[in-house]
Amino acid sequence: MTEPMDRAEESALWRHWRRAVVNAAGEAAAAPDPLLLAAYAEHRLSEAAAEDVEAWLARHPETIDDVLAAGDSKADALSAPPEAAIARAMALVPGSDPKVVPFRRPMRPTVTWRVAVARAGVAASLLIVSLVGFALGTDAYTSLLNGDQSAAVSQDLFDPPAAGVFSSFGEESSS
Amino acid sequence: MSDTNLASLIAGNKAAWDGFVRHYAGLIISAVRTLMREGTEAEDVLQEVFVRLCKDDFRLLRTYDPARAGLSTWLTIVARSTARDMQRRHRPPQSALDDVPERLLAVSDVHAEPLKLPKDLLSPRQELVLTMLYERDMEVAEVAKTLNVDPQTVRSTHHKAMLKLRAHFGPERR
Repeated sequence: MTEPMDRAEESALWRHWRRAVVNAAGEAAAAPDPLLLAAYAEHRLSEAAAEDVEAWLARHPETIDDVLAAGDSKADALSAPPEAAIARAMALVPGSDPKVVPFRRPMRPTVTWRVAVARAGVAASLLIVSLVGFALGTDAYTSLLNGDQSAAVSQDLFDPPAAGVFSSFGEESSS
Repeated sequence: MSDTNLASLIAGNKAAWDGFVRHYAGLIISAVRTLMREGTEAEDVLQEVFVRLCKDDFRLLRTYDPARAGLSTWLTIVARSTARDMQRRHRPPQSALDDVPERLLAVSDVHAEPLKLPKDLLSPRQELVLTMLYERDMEVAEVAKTLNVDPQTVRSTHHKAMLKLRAHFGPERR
């Protein structure tokens, strides 16, 4: 189209204009309706309508690729998405298999299995601790009620003598 | 997809919806794959597109008019627009102003002088042609195909636009 030297100069000129336009631009225009862009991609718009779309595209160059992709789009001969993704999308409209949850990706079987084992382990631990605690408490209470020797020991454990641990030795030596 | 199937789909027919999903899922995945980094993200966009299409009693799908554009073309635009919206939502937060080194915040004085821009110096078509050539680095043939014009028309549009820019910025730059 132009010599490399000219191209560099023209590119610089364009960028100068571009910066000035961006700086002078006021409120951003709303994005055109997808149907309008689609019609533009298929060259179905009138000259006036196309001009509005082109003005918007010039200020939003990233969407030029969208128009190019839309112009080349065909529903046939495309890579097939995973069946799970299709099933989730189908489940968005009621009447499909109730086992499919539309918004959640299914957990991997190994993850499900590990979570179940971990939860069962925690539950079993809690149960064992509760049972042992209950049994010990019941034994201690029963012994206290019977008033035997071991009950006195148990009572000391719950209510230690005020004189201290070694007070009994002192009593023996004095007698 | 025929008009009858589309009407049936909008009416909430489950079989029509399933057929629609199966037929167009591949197109949507292909349309957004170039925008996404991983296949799993493309699947998330796929789901989001179908959610948008059937949301509020198929409100978006009802806006489609087969007389104005093909369904594949429209779906591609909707899919890519959805993908961009999702990317914007998941974009990492901007760094705080205090964390940016001061030298990076320095503003050069290149545009200190007020620029007087004639409102319609370039036509939308001329601006788009220059954007495609210099910002998107597209070939003339590609631009011509996108605009559905002859490559010679693209060259001519480019030439006229450059004449206008030179005339406008020429005296300023001297």
